[in-house]
Amino acid sequence: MNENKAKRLYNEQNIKRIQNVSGIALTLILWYVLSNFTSIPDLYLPSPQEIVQCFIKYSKDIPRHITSSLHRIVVGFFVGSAIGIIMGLFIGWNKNVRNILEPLVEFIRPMPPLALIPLFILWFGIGDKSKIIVIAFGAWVVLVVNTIEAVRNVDPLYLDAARSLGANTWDVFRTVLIPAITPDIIAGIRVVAANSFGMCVAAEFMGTATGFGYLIIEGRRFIKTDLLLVGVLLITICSMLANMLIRLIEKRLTRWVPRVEN
Amino acid sequence: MDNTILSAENISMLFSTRKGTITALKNLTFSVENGQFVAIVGPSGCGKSTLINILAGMLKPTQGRVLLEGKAVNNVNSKVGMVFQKYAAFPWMTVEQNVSYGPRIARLPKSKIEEITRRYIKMVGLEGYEHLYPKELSGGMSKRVDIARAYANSPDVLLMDEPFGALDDITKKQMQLELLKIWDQEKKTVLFITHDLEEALFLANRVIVLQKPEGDCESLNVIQEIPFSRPRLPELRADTEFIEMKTLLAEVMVR
Repeated sequence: MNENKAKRLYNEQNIKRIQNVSGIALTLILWYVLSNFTSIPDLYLPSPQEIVQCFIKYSKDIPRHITSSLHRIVVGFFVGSAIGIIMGLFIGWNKNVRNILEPLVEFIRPMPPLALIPLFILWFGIGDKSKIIVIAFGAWVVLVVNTIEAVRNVDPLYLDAARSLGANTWDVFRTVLIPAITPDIIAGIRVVAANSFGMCVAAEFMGTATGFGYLIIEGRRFIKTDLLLVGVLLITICSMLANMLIRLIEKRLTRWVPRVEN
Repeated sequence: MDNTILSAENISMLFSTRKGTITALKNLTFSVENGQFVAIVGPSGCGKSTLINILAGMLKPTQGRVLLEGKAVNNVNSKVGMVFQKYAAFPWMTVEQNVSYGPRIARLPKSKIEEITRRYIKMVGLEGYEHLYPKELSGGMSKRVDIARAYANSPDVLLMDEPFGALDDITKKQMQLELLKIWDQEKKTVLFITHDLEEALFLANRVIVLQKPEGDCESLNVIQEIPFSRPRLPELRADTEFIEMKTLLAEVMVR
């Protein structure tokens, strides 16, 4: 009986895996057929082989582009997230700080970071600094709002429980507030990480000699659609890897969170 | 010197709302002797939650004061342990980490923390579940964690605010028996708030019945000593005297 059940479960998992792969496989096949056996010009739709060839051709340069973009993203992401979380904690925790800063945050919140790129270039020049600041700004906005909300959502029951067990303000902060908001913060960080890649590319479009954005702009300028797509694929892969890394950390830190198993 | 550990002296609590002033508690006075099990019952709206918030030091009464061992209770402190109606075990801590919370916050020596934790986990019968998170526990087990955690912090008085209100009937009755066993072992004063008269009679030495303070009515309805011998067993609920007393108090409550 049990054996049957285990077998069925195993089969179900296999079916799920096959289904998961089939969507991607079908798209790849469709792409291959459309690009190789129809009259659609390479300019619009280069074939998968061409993308691979282009990748090999630029393989010497690619690491340089990756590191230069990742440098901007990582620095911007960390600086922006850190400031966002710390400010969010203060605003969420302290009434006076909240009264002063929250209206300001609410005003800045709807500003699209991309709209500020020209201003940042004006202030900080066309180099890395302005790009990093755009990314940091984008991360900051999301996380400051996210953290304020998370702090506000902590069940007062836990704060009362901790205090009745002898916890002082610092103990409550350390042992209740921080762990209680961690799941929300990590969810915010995941959104921010994905955004950071997009903002980095947008900032690079405004002028750069390296990075994912450079590959894409070069591809467009010289009508090398394959190069353009290599740029897009590289960002996608890096963004996916970043997301996986964050999920791994999330799993470690939020084992206690009740979840619906699927 | 009498044996009073906790006393409420002439407590009144008024809330001002848009519709005017609401009296939640009026001129309530009672005292609790050390080691007793006192239950506070009353219909909804009689100010039970307000009272527990005041006793716990979370709320300041408009008038009167609460004395714990002769000293006024002004804020939440570790001398008054709490078991809440809702499940209050920290979801991010294991059973062990929850139970050891008080001793850890008090920075007791490591060996002492371990000893206390082991003792109270054993007391509530959660051995073998030390490393589980609250999400992995049933309602009854979660409540046990709350109780063990409150006891492990060795407060002077334990306030229990309808702790079994969320449990199903069978689990509730089982928990009542276990609580009595623990109370008997630990000899700690318990103030147990409930809307369930039978529960109050079954558990307590003394039942304080509250009423809604309206018109000339004050908060205190009646204080009833409960004479039934201990240990109290489930059969007590079918005892004629028990039922009589329950009927009597039920009448008093609706009066």
